Amino acid sequence: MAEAYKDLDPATMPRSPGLTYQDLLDTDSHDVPDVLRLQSPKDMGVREYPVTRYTTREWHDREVEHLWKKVWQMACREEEIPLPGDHMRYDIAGMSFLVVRTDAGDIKAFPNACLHRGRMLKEFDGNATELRCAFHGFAWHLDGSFCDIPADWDFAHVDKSTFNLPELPVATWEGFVFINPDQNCAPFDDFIKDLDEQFQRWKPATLYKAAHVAKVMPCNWKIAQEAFCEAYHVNGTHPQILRSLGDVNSQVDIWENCARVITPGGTSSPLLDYEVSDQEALRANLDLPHDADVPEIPEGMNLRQYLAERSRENLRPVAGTRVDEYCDAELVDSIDYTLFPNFHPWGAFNGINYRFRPNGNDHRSAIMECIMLAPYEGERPPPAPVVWLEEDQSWSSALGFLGKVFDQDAFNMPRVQEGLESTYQTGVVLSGYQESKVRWLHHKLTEWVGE
Amino acid sequence: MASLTHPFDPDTLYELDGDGNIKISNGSKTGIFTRKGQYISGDIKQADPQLCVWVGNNPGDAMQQMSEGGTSITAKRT
Ligand code: FES
Ligand SMILES: [Fe+2]
Repeated sequence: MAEAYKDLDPATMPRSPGLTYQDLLDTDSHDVPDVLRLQSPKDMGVREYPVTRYTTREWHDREVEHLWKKVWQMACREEEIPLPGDHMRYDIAGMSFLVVRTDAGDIKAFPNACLHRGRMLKEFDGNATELRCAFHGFAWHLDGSFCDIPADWDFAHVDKSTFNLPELPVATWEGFVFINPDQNCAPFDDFIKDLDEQFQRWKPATLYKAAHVAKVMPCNWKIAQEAFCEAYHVNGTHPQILRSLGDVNSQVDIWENCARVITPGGTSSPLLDYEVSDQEALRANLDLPHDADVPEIPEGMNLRQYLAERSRENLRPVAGTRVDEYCDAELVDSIDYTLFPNFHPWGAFNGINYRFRPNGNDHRSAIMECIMLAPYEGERPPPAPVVWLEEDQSWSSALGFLGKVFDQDAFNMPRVQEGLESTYQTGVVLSGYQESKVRWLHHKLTEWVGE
Repeated sequence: MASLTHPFDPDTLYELDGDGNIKISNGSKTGIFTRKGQYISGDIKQADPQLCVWVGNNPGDAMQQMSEGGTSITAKRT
């Protein structure tokens, strides 16, 4: 069992000079919800985590046994399988699972394998009236119960009354479907409790899947994931936004099974040694060329309030008067949650969700996905299908401005893999506070996988 | 066309040139770099690679060649 981590006192802990995130919330033009007033900084120690976690097949194999075969994991959205017979394939670390909407309307998950000679039952997502194998035609009902064996006189030795597909634990949370490959796993409620408490106000179930982009990244899945778990890298990786992002005044909060980093927008980095005007900060925020005109910020408004107001008006046509309840921070800041081990729903209303996982059984490549949820008026629009980017396609080609930011993160990823395979260091050095979410992930990995 | 001054060095301008490369200028000095920050020519010899990536990343621009083989890792040594 890994050593427990300790509470820090937000008033006395070491932190960046300049405004705290809580100071910024005091300037909000709207009431700030309690969830943003929570603070849960932790002293996670100063230990280094072994480089071999990213570089060896041996560690990957242990992850498969002790993590991926055991942990709750987000498989898809409920809205992707609305009708009886709709099914989706969810693959993790060389294993394939089938998530199916039954005739009764509930959701079941099964190993994606025929009980005859093992062929994968469904290769593609789709709709079916039964789960019939393409090899010899064995079939199961949508609820996994036995349906048919062609020429069954030859299988008198098979007890049809128990010849059902093994059922895996399934749970739903805010429109997401989670499965657990371990039939004896711990209850989902314990697993989701921390995150669920935080999302009471934001309700991602009320949003629809507006975009879904996936790409194989040439690095261990944790290298890809950890690129999105701190804002400390902004000075090196995203310097263009420093005039409009409070990178090192991010607030980091750690709970048992989830953690978050909140990075304020519309405020300049404490790392800049000069005063940044609101106009220059706005130029950076809107990514306008150095000599272009910048919109005027109305008298009496600060930059955060102005950016929030722009965002409210952009959202109003689809979100209606709800936007008037959203405080500035909810519209301007990056509120990045992580649910162990690999699911990252952003809080508030920008609808970003990331998922990272190994690419099959290759410990040197990962699947990175960005799922964008969005509000809608009237009938729920159909969920966007996943778009797989080829190796030579940029994230920006699919996700525009957000993708441009990802392309900078992606620019590092293979170089981190190669660096870790070349280093003489045995451990990865992490900061105490700003990278404490990465520490938390490794602390949890130690609990699940071992050293 | 994307352009910005470096937040850590506000006298230095990064912009896309007509050839799809990144032109960096500071006073009378200039340097030309690839979209990944590799030096091509000029008297400015070093660049912030991530700002080159940013300024050179314009979705829809036919000249954009984000990959250039650089997003892959080398074959695993045994
Ligand atoms: S400064 Fe963080 S990996 Fe080099
Ligand atoms: Fe980043």
